[in-house]
Amino acid sequence: MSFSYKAIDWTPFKRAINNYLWVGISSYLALFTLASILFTPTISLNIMLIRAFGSAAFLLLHIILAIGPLCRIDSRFLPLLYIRRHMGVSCFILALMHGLLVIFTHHTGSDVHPLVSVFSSDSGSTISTFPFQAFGAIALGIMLVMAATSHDFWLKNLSAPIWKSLHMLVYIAYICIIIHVTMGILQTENSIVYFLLIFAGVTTLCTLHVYAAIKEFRTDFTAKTNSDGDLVETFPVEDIPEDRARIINLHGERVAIFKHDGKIYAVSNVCQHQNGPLGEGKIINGCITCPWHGMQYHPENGCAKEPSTEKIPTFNTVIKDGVVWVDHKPNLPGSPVKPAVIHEAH
Amino acid sequence: MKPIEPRDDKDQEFFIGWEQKVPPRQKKFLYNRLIGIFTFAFLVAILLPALQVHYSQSFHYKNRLVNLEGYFTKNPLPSLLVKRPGGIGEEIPSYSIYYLSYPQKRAIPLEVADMYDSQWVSLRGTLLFNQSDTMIEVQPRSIDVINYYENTPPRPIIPEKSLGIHELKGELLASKTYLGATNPGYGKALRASSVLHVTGGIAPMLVINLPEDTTHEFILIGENNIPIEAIAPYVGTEVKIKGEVIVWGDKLVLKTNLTMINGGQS
Repeated sequence: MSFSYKAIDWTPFKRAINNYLWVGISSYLALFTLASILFTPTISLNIMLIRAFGSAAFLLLHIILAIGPLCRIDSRFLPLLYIRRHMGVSCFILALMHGLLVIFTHHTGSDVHPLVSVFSSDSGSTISTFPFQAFGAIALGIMLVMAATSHDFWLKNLSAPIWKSLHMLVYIAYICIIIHVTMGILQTENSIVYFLLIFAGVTTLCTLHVYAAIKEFRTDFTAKTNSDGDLVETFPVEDIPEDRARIINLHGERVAIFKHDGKIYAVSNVCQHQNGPLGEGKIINGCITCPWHGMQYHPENGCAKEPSTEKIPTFNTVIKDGVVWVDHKPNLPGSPVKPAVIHEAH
Repeated sequence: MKPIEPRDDKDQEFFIGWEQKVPPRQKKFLYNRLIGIFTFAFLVAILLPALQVHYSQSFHYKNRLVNLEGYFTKNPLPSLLVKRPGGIGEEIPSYSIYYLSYPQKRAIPLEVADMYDSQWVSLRGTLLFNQSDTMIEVQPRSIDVINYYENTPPRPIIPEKSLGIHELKGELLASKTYLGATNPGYGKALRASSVLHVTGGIAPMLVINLPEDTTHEFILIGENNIPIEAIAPYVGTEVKIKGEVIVWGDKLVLKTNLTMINGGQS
């Protein structure tokens, strides 16, 4: 990234959202506690805390998983991406508290090792003996790995594809948690509202992801495909806003076509940092700036702004009759290209 | 050539994470959504506890140690028989039966039960109780034999009557969790805890829910009053169980064995 190494790269916005996040979490836990004491005064303290931390983590995980598709649907949500990892670590802390309290309350104080008990106390195939706690433990393990590797240090050392694949495990964790909740607390609580809340959460997330995917799918398959040799017809120059891009799918690869300072540049749409959509970014100070995390690239060669060393493929472009044609064969990442000059073409 | 359509105003604002300020409209948009999310979350925080099942009125006064004196009996399960104070009617047994357990998920060890059986003792512990049953979580090494040099109280007689063989259907639990070690002390989420209690020697309990939020509780004991720890896999589940129902003082005891559960499917 184009900034020096820090433990956390705080900005006023990040700090503000992080503060709101923890005020929100604290308020949730306090409200849950007060409501428990009011409505079920005989509830054990441990059980109350287990439920408070567990439900807070479950709710926060839904918010975290909604951020990605929301950003694809409406770019005004993009700033939330910068705080998503903070949310993820906060979610892990809540889930860890839930897990530790469960182990302390239900699995200690006998001759069986607590961790063995987590995985062995339920081992049947019926609903009442289904091993729901094992699924919770698996989800917590995944969240531990994700929280531990959430820093940019790991992103750089593991490389973006591996890091991204690792963090896609959150969906496995989510499935495990849904099993954990539906086969656990939902078997004890008989209010329909519990079921409806979980159903609404799952449905909302699925709908958001499908809607975002359909939106991208439409973008990919509504573009023109006229070709001339290796060149493919794309957009009229005038349809590309200054310092912004239009995205087109060329033989399965998304290409971002930027207009800047009277020139047309085409680069891969995929940011090497975290696979962000560069074409939804903007040219700032002469650099293509990724909308997800602010990674910057020089448009003329696809090299990241120093000190970063990432490179993206570039594409040759020409302008014919006011329309941008792009060579569908990418140049090697970091290869300099000669931009198509708009006034020469005209 | 198609003219440029003016882009939506929202797209003109562009925020990069390492910039100091978020564009004002984007900031307003986000903060309005955050208010909505927080409102929903706070509603959930109230709704979930409000709609929880109403638990039995059971308690564990963990921080309140009490000293008790009574008659220690290991059969049918380790209990302390404590004389009821004051004048009581003839229909009420003159001794209260307090089940005994050790801290955490352990029963009174058999050798300890053997050591103090049929003796007057004093002990220290914490109380777990619901409307009809009480258990003492005894502090280890706090049991002392009381030496009466004269006027030793007579051995308490607890009326015992068999009601015959019956098949009962209910949820099998650990008596200690049901009486307040955790509240709620039943249900799927608590099964692991109940299983460990029973494998630790705590007597299982069959709870039958009756109309109008009333329950019948039966303490389960094995043949020859041996704890049936092997029943643990059935704990936390609904079972049909056959056995001899015995009224012991004001308690209901079900004497059974593993082959009598769910029509002998064990």
